[in-house]
Amino acid sequence: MRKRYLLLLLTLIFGAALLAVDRYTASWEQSTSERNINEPDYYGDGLISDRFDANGKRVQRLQAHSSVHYPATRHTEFQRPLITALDQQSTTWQIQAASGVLSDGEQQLTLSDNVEVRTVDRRDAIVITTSELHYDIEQQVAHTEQPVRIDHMRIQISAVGMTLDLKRQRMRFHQEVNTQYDPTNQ
Amino acid sequence: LEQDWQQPVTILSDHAELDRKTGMVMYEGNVTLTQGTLRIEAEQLLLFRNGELLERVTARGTPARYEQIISTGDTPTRARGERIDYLAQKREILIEGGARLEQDGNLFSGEQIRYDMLRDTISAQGGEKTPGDDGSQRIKVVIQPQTSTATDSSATENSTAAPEASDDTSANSEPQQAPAPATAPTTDVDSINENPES
Repeated sequence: MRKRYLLLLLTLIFGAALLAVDRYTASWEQSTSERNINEPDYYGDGLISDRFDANGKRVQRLQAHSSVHYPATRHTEFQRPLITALDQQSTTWQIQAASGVLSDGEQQLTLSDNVEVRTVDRRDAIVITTSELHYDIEQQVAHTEQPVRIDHMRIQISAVGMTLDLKRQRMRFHQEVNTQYDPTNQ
Repeated sequence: LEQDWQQPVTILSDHAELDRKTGMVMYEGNVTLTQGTLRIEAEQLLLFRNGELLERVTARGTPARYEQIISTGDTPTRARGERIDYLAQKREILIEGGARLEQDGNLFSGEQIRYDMLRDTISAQGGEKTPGDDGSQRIKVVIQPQTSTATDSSATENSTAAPEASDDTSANSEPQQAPAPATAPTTDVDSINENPES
């Protein structure tokens, strides 16, 4: 009788052990598959991507210190992206930020952290700073709903929200526009 | 004031648009421009720059308003109209559309008023005459009588008539300072050039 009980007990212990092993392997698989989902499929250092107009003239260059692409969520993350673009009067503009995200097949690059837009080679330079900017690579139009600050010659503008049409060099400030103009030396 | 021109300009508005090519900035919605004692309020304000210099400000509103103290100790000069052009370099104000300007109690109203701050002269112009016009398009000038008593006795001998109403829309008639009657004289002509200091 006692042997039978002993055998039953051993079977129970063995079954519990099997269950534990099964649960462990199941969770391990899930975490690895999750990691696979979030696993990048390629990354790059020193990325350069150029755009040319119909006449073969380069009108825009996208550079980044590094980039990582995630297949599952179909997006690319850039570190220190820098966009250099020409407007209709061949003025060179530069847009830079700490980081940027571009979804596959999309044209809108979202730039974050210390975003700065500036004209490079013009006497009346302009510098625009904000915390986040959505830039349409094809249309060369940038917009944000965040606070912006503009320094342009002796004018300083602060506003909430901005749309910048880079090709046409036109800016529209959406709300709460405060302009300071220092006419000294007039 | 003379030093107004050296003061920073502050412009507040709901929206704005900057065109880098033309240097023009357009402000819209509850726009106020302040520079020292100068204050302009409007629904739309256009700022034109010539390089780094502020060239002209055009304010539109229903009405657009202007206020500034021209000389220390003066009461503010006020103006209003559908459109006010503030020519920063020439120190001139041009008011159009139901133009009205008040300075030291004197009141000028008409279709268009030009105020030259450097020469301190005001020139006003009536509107185009239309059939059945009731004369509202013409210039109206209300000059406050001098309050000091010293001039009372001499004033009574050389009383002169109010300026004749002229038909030209832009004749430059120089009005005589009327003696000090009990009520303010009202002059109604087509055009007038007045130096408020005379």
